[in-house]
Amino acid sequence: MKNLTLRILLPLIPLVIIAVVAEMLSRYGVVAPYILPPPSDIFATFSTDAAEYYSATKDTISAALLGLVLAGISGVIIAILFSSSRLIERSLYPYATFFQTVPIVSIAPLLVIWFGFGFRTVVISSFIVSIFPVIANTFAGLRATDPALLDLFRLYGSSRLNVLLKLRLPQAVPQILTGLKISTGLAMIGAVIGEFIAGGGLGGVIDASRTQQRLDKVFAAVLLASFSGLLLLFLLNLLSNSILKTWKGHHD
Amino acid sequence: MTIGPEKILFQNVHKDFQSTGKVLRDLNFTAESGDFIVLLGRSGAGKSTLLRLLAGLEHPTSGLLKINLNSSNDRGYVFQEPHLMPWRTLAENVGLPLELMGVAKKEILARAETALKQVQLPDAGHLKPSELSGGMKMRASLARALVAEPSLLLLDEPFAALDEQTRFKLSEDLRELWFKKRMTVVFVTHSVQEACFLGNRILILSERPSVIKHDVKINLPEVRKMDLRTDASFNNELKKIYDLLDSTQKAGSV
Repeated sequence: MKNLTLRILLPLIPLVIIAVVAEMLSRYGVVAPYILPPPSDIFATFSTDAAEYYSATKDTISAALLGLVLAGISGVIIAILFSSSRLIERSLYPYATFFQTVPIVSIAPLLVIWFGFGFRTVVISSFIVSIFPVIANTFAGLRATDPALLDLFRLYGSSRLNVLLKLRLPQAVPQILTGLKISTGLAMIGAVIGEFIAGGGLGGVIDASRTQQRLDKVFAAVLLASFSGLLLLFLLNLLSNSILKTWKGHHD
Repeated sequence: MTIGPEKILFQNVHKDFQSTGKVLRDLNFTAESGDFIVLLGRSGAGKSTLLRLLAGLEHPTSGLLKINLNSSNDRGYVFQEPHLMPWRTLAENVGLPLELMGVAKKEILARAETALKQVQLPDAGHLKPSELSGGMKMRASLARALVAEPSLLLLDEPFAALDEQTRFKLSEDLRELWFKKRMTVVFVTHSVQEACFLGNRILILSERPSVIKHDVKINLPEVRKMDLRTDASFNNELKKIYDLLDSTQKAGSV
């Protein structure tokens, strides 16, 4: 218990120190408030603009979550296709890495042209950024099937579909979850960047506040975006741990 | 070759692999139905390859291999490690062969429970592999090989990773299972002790490319219990095999 308290308290100490230093720097005029707003102002905007932040956070989280779910489903399906045929893998895998290497900022304007302003484009942006880790991890998991068990399935004349459904996919579950966890943070980034261009959500608040020189609001939105990401990751960890617990029984 | 109800027939069987070259060379032997045969040889002597030929997981490069089976699912195979699926319960693991053969779900569970009982794991069907000891996992693995009641049971050094007491107990139980069910067993090992305790007949393989150097009958009672291990008759058989291995090695080194 004492350990847990320490683990929560210790990371808070640097935060408090930084906040106090930042507060003093701007209060005593060392740094102008339009460069670094005092933390007290940032916290004040949370209550004055509470309704705006609430709905923006809700939009961003919904977009990131939807992008993540779509990436999870399509990523697993694409990985299954890759693992089912060398030919498909060899000819298409290089293009899958496109999702990993494309700077989302550079194609976000295109997305707006194709899909318009608003929620849909934000979801697509989040989807594009977060799909690759799911593909890569699922594919690795599908490939890493126990050869002895493959022999066993062969021994009883199993169909390829049964090998996939009863062996390869269930065996890949831990790796699929790992991929999803990596993608969670990315989904959040993809959503916020999408919102810069397509509007709405926390990304929209950041962009609008920046042009109004309201750095206190920018900082508040950035903090909310980070906490939303942490929240998503926390929820995914909960889900992943409970799935893994049933997957491998109660002992480690 | 003899005419009769032989279970297994190897006639001039060769097996080469592109990567490792010649593994088995001119193998000739027959096995009667219901026999307990041990393949004894050093690591890398091609024992596992021979077993995989019997399982139909590999095919001879040349020569004739015949196995008298009731159906294509008439073989059970036990690996060096248990290789259970961690996400399935024991009953689901054990029932896998039946599931792949398309047996109805209800029947699968009943037969899985029966197989688990046979390997002394009654009431363990609901457990996950992670909740079991190494010996129990191997028992479950054995149950999975037995669940479809194969007439040919193939085991590839199944007890090698277990501690000695567990190994002895499992050997005793396997021998008793064979005595009751009378399936044909082919058991691969590098342990002379294990070979003598389990086998009715021991085939000693030479170094690679392997041939059968000796084909030895073990003169011990059908029913074999733990106390046999300290009996003089058991020691005699051990000595017989050790002497043969010695001569095999000397011949090999010339």
